[in-house]
Amino acid sequence: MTALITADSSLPSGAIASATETRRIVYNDWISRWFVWASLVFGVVGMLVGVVVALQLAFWQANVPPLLTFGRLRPLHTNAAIFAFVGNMMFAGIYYSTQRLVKARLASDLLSKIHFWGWQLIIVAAAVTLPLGYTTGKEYAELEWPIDIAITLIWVVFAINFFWTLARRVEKHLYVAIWFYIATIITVAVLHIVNSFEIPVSGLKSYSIYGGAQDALVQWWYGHNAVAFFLTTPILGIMYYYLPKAAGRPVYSYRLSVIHFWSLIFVYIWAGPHHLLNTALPDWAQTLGMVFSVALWAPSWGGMLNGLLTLKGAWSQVRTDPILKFFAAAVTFYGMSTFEGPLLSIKPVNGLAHYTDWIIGHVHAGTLGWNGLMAAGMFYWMVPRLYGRELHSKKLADAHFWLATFGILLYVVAMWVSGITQGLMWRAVDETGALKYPNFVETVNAIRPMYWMRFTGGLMYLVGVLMMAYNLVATARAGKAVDGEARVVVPKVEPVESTWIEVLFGKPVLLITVVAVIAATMAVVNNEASIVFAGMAVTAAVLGTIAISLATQNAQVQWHRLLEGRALIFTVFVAIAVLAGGIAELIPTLLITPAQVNASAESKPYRPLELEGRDVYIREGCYTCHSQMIRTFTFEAKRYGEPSTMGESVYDHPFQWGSKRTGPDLAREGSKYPNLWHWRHMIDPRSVSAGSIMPPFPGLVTDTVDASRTADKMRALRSVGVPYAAAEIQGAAADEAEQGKAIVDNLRADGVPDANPQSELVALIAYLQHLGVHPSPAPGGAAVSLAK
Amino acid sequence: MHQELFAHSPLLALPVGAMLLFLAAWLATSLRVLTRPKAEIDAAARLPLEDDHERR
Repeated sequence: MTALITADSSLPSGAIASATETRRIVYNDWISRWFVWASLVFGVVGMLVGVVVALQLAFWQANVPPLLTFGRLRPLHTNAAIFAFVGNMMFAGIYYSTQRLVKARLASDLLSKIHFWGWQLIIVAAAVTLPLGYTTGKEYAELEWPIDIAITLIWVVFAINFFWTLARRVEKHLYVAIWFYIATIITVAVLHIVNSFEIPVSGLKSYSIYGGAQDALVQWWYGHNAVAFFLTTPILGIMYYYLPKAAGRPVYSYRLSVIHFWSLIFVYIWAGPHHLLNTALPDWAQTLGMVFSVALWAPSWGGMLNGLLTLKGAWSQVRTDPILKFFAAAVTFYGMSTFEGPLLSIKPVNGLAHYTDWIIGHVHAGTLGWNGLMAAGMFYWMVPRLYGRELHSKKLADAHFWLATFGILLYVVAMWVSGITQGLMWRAVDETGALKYPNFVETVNAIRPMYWMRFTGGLMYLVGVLMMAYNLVATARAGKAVDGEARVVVPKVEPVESTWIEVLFGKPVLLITVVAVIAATMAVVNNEASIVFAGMAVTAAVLGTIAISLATQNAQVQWHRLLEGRALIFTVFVAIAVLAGGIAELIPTLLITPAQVNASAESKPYRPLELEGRDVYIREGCYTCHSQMIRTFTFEAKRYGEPSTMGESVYDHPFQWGSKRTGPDLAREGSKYPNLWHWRHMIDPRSVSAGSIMPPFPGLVTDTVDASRTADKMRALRSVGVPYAAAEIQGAAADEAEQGKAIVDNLRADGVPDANPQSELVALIAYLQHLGVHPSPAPGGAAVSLAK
Repeated sequence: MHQELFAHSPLLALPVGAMLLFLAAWLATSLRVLTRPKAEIDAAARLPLEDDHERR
């Protein structure tokens, strides 16, 4: 039967004109079908690559240089899982639910097609360029500048299609799921654009305009909020639509959903610096990141509890319905991850966990547990409806659920054990105060069994996804594609609505403006007066809110109700909520100049050959396993040297602080070992470091750097603040040859007769010998020669 | 050095101001939403369930 729905059902009946008409809507469901299949295909690919990189960590021989090494495949895995699997799933879910929630067909079939094919083209471009080594070196934002532009354009197409649909909607009230979608579209656009500002050098090479700590702050503001606004808010929106549908009951508390929405989007945007705790980032930014991360627990659990309590009274269905099983488990994993996240953001806990596998476990509890299981629940619910047939096999879906759940648990427990073990070993000292495990490889070999356990868990999860793919394909083949339709009763004459002016100059907006002005005054007064103004702001906020509440209690049309009916203004408020945190957090650090950061002249720009070596380092994804940030701990100083400073990385575009130490920190690697050690280490890591799991890079011996492009790179870097003199740029090729020759002469003296001064390996050695050495290192690296 | 610089930067009032703005907005939203009529809330919450009998 066809649904007969009264449009704008929440409006008081008197506000609707008496004359009505019935309108038939045929939804655009083919776009949801396309995105479902794309998500499944790329989900299998992304998770397969995940299993391969897990194997490479457990069994280094699984690396196949040069294209299929861990450093090149890991970004492919993360990009595929996030943007291809979850991205396509999210688009499928958003398009399907939005049409039904607003009672309107998608605005444009053409834009839908451009969105779909454009996004798939971007994914294919990523799948080709990342293994080839074209990367910006910024985690989850590795794609080079032409692809960044393509992402922006396609995202704009998505936004136009979405907001155009909202503009054509019959149902005026915007359900809470739509709010989450709006927050996603706005914030992802802001994050992507701000983090992707880069100076192109060539068709597939660019440098971030930010350097050092500034780049770190922007990158992790982006990185964390990619998790927040790509992997969380759209999925919460999906939860608010599909979970009530599957359970057959409305969301537990709509009031809670409103409060938790606004809290979540405001607080989330601040939490990025928790990825940089105990580093050289300014203390105030670290504290801000920590405080907001802990505060984030409350709105996150608001969503989690709202999801789980929606199942109140329906738990008996969970026993028999695999879809509800997936949703219930997904929301539980969301609760677990959002408890663990704030915990990991507390500085002392972070001191133990950061750079270890604990963080990897945390991320995967979120992606496999929350995103993956939500995707499965949604697909199992949607595909039978998109093809007009019952699910092919509920038993198979049940089996998938248990396999996936045990797979995740195996994975996460392995990473907890691995992370805590390694974190404790790094800081362990004996009775004399010396490091108990001074050889980093010892701490890696201790956790290798956990790498096999992780591989097994990941493999189980992948098998589950393959089972789901089979189940859904069988369902689709047995049915046929159908588009949903509905008839809605709409008033012939649109109800009288308040004007934009009434909304924009409504009492709540005026109150927020007054509070903001008082708060902003704090910036220009002294500390004592700041406290007074802070008190005034809070008082005004509280008293104003109470006054507005009392004044509007009996009003016919209420302000927040109006706000929800105006998609554009609602979008503006979402943007303000998100930007308030972003601007306040980023601006103070972004306004500081390189000269101020490097006032004590700790840092000098890289010489041309070192710069080329650095690009090799970035291309091979060395940052995926090595940090360049010695934290402010005694045990780190004992192992690696003095803690890193902000000035040391000021000319690093992009920064290379890293996020994981599968290998040791390299911030003070320069002059630690002779050139010969590095030469041997890159060709066969185990020849100088027994037990190492690093992949070999023999190709670097024969591949050469292109000296003709170095000057262009230096010019690009000069334009973003690296102080290269004109003469240095002109003499780049000559300097490159000179430094290469010095390294090769040193290698020859140590028994390597045929090293090519233009080889990528020589350039990489030049770079590594620069790290932490001021001014530039002596040609021979460390004083002690390995050959002897 | 840079810690000194930040310690004297008036720009650090920005995060404090933004946080106060958030607190004010949060209070306003909470009070507002808690005082909305139950019938209106219930109608909004049922929106996803309205198309349960759509034609296929």
